[in-house]
Amino acid sequence: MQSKQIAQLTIVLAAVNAVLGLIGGKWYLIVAAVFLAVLAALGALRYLSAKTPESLRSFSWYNIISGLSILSLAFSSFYSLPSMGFVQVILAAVIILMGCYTLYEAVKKHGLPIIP
Amino acid sequence: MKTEEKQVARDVSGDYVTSAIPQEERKSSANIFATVAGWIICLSTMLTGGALAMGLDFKSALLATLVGMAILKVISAPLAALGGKFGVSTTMITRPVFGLFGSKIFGLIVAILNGIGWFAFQAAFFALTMQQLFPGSFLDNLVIGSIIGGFFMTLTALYGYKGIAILSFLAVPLIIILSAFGGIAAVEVGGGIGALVAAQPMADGISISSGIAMVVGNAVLGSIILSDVSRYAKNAKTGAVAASAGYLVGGVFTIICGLAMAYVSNVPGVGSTPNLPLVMVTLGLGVGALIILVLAQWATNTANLYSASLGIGSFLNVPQKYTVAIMGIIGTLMAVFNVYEIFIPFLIAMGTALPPVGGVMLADYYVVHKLVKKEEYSFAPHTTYPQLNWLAVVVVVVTAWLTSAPLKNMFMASFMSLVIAFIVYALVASILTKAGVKYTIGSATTK
Repeated sequence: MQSKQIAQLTIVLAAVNAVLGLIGGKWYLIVAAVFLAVLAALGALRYLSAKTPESLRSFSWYNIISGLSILSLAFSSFYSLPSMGFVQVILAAVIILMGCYTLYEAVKKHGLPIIP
Repeated sequence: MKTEEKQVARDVSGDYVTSAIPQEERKSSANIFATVAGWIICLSTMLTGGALAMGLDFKSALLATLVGMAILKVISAPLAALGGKFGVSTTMITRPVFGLFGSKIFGLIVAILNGIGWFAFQAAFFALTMQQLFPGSFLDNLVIGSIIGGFFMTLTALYGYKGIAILSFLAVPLIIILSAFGGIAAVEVGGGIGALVAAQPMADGISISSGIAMVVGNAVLGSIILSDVSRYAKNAKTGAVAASAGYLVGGVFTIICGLAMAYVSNVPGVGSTPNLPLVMVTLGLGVGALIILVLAQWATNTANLYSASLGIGSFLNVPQKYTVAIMGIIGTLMAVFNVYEIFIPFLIAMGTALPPVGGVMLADYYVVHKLVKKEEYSFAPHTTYPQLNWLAVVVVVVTAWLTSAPLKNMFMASFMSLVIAFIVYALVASILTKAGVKYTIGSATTK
């Protein structure tokens, strides 16, 4: 899969996460879901606007951080969704894996250090 | 020849322990900011927030936090600037200040204090946290928890600055995001922002000045040895701004999270501090709480061990990985056998002794060298340093004694000891320099 397609998929998954939060209904579930969706989408949009190795690495870190945050909140009793929580877990896992893959590409193919 | 010497310095220590970081290996501001923030974001800083909540109402606790951390920023910025300017560790910066012998003593103190004492304390604390979070599991055993914590903390420190930077780059944003949502959960459970702002002390009240002293006392040591990280900054300005901002933002954020969670959770405290791991579980943070607690303690203790290895490496000519491994093993064993408890009086005593060191360092560079002698420090190979600056040592010892015994109840004793040491050393050293009176003993040239 190309990095461009991964970025596009990230935006779709981020949008799904935001919608899941909105379905959850409570204000803090909406804040958490929308904030983390924006975080993931922001990295993807920045990469799509300038496809440099550095922005690929940055996009990867956005994905890893937002994915881990979504995953850990999904497993907490306070922030877990009343229904369809498993969808949030799956999409978070996919976002993390995509982040690890693109980070591997940035480091191995483009020779960048793992962090700026 | 220069490149060869640079290579030798790196080969022996593995991490430019006794030489300046080459410009091409300096890091970005974001890297420095995240690494420093990762250093201060730890459970003990969060517990400072919890302890403030026990004695102050929310507004007063917030004020104490902001004032305390602002004071630390004033101390840390000029010291971090030295690291960024010269590219050397704190122990190296003490060479022109205290002399070669004095610098070795400083390095040894930092190694015992951070690399063994605090490392053991944090590893044991890690085990206690795991015991509370996973009762009935294999992590309920303090010995296993200490060994697991000590092992991973040592393993990361073996990679030197790179290990801390990567860990912090992952840990800091995660801790900030999850702690912020922990704060939101606390506010929601506690009845909203209004209830939080109106929150009253949970136990006997303390004064705002005592609160400020708690904030300063918790993190003053770290602010003095910030050059160990800021030496990787591209210049003095970046070192000062990025490192002190990381310390300020990380500190304020962590203390406020501790405050918010402690006020609203109504979980009984342990002694004078609230049981924050239990607070997080009570708030339903689950895995998030585990991530916050594990990453926070891991990043902080890795930095402690790294800083200690720089102190030891300045006078022991062995690869850094060996010093890290040996100190990590000793610290872990002390945590396993609870031997770290005998270190606590020593840690407290050293906590009083080190702030005057920061005062003398600031005075020696910014007043005596820059204003009076109009000289710059040099850390190049074959530099001649005094063997001992007896005036600096006397000022540190006397100030530390004064603020630990006769003046120990003074307002913000640890911070005031730094200020007193700064003023006294700046005045006396300037007068002696102008009068042509030597206050150093012997001299030696480095290799």
